Amino acid sequence: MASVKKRRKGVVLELTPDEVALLQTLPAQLAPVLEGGPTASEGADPVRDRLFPRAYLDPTEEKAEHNWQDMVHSDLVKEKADALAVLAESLERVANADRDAKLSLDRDEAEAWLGALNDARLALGTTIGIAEDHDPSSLDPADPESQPFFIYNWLTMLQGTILEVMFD
Amino acid sequence: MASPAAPAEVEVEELGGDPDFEEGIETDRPWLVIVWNDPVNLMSYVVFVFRKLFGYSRDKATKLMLEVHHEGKSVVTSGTREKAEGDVGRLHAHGLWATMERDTP
Repeated sequence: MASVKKRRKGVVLELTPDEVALLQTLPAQLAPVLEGGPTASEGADPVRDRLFPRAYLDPTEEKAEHNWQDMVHSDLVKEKADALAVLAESLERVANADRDAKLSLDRDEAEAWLGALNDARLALGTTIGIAEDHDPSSLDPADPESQPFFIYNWLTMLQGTILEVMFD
Repeated sequence: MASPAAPAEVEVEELGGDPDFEEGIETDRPWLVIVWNDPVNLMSYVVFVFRKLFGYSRDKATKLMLEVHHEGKSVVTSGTREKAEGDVGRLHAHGLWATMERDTP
């Protein structure tokens, strides 16, 4: 289980090789969601709709919605891709370790991790249908279908611990 | 917070019979930025985002987050259409589910 400690200007994570390997898969898993232009597939892909929601609920504002998507979509994609790139670059520092490794993140890196972990949780949570009453303790480890839920719970724990350590 | 509404009230008395008046009021109503509850975003993350984006105190950010959590949504900022569009974009960049709508009269 990852441990997280506070440092004056950031956090230090202690990660197992398996945890590093799991985190390294996140950028590639999210890459397809970040491709394609604004409103390219609205309604067709729930993950994409969740990462890039509408600004206007009012259907009479369709033109404003379209203009807004045109204006912000590439910036949103870039911001998310940049955060994932920071995650990937910092993981390079502990790649190929054969035992638990300590990874120091400065404040900016830690904030990028929070965003990248959040996008990964939004994507995975949407795919597996996480609901408000999701109970992490109700999973059966022997059930292969539980695996994505365990991954989701671990990402949740990691993001929550980083937040707690940084801001409490 | 009070300043955007004040000039409109002055105009009410001066332009009361003007046929364009109703339309003028329409565009003066501020846009509200609404954050909706969702089952994924952590409460602590939502507080972090409100503080980072809007410079809110921990107390104010926590109060808004709890409103989202318990009531399903909360108005987190308001202003011109342009400001609201910018705030919604920044909230989406951080993974919060935000929309905008014009304040009701």
